[in-house]
Amino acid sequence: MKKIDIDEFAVQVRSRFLAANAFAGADLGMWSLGHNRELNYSTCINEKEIWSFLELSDCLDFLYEKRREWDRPVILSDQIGLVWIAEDMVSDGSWRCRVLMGPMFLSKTSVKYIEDSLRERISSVFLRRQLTRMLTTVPVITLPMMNQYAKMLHYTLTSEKILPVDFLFQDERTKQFIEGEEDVADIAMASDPERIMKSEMLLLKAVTDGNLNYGEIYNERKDFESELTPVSGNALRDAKNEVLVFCSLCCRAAIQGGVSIKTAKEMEVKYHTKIERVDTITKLKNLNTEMLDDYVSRVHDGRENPLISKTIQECCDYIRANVTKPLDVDGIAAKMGYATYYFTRKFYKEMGIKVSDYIKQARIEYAKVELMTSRKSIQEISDTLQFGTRNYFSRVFQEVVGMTPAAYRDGIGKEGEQI
Amino acid sequence: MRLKEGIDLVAFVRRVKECKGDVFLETEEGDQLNLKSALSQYVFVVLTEQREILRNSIVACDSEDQEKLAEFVY
Repeated sequence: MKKIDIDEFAVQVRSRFLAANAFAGADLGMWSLGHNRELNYSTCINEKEIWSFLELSDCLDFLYEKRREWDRPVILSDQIGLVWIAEDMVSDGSWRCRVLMGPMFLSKTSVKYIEDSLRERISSVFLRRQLTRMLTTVPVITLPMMNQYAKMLHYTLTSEKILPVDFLFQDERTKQFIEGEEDVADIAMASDPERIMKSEMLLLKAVTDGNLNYGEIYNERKDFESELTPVSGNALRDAKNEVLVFCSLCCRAAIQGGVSIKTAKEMEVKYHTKIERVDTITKLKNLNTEMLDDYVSRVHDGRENPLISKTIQECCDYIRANVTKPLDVDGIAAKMGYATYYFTRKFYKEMGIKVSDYIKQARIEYAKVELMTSRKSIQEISDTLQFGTRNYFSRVFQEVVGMTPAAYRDGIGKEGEQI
Repeated sequence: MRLKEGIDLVAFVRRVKECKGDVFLETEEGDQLNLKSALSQYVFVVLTEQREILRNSIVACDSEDQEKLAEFVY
């Protein structure tokens, strides 16, 4: 994949492109303001009237009276629900202008709601129409789209990515107004403890196994910020606490995977120090990724057994990353570039176990995680892991683990109560 | 009181915000816009080109606020 380097274009040029695309894609206006609130230019329809709204709202006062540089997107809203995104353009170390995107309505606030309010106060249709005609040109976009435009604005101005959790808000009212737009389903899914626990356990298993294909598990997680359990009231502090704990768990998983205690603890101290030093959740997320990769790689490199070829190691990693998908020996052999007969002999010679048995073991390891962390029925787990029938799954499970899936689940539950 | 011709409507509303009491714009058709309300302020400023409406409207406010608005009304 080739990364597109936008730094070869001046930030002013990049901004013009963003302005054109935002207008083409969503009729979203872009404004450039100077040091003293003067309007440099805008791409907004009904620029004069919308500029009047902006001047009358608290948004401009907030942007300019704070006397600071807005180096991240700041979300503004006025009393009738018009929303703006603002950030400063800095080029070659010098402040150039203040960029605004907007106005926009979020999905819940609509022209109709304002029309109803106007109808209650103003009987003249002509008078009402003067405003509503103006407001129908304001795009109505969803909160996720607003977040995307804010991220695009930041990237355009700085060449850096950012997460919505690092956005600033004009005030508490605006923050609550925006947060009220969150999809309730998203919030419910984000706070599902079973899903979070399962994802964490699979990642730690990948660390213990030194499985370089952990990325698929990692990418199934929702955005990092949705995993946080608010405790202190400070989102960054809460996020750091979560990552500190996860780092310690990775340290122990790495020790289980064969990394020396000294090495694993040194890594833990190194990352704990780095975690405390970050100042945004975006940077914390990147550090979390770096830390996980480091632990997995350390275990993987330490496990490299000169008696096991790279092909067979890749095969094992592939099987572990795809246990929930149909896996057949012929397909795996073909993927590794071998004829089935030769591949199965090679695997057995190096691993001491048949490919089909290795697949079963990998699936049983996954099943143990599901039994511990989810309320899925044994039939559902059997289906997920391609066992065909519940009876067959139970039989294989008992052969490998020494007890039935139900007994395993009950046994874990009772251990949990004792703790 | 009536609005003077050609005033800056945004500047007028800013001055209204400094008034102690409510300030109303009463149109010829009988509507009363409370210019302390954000929605009414927005309705008001889009009337920039509607000179006849502005010319025929009356501005009503408490007596103690009249001096503050003197620059914009007669």
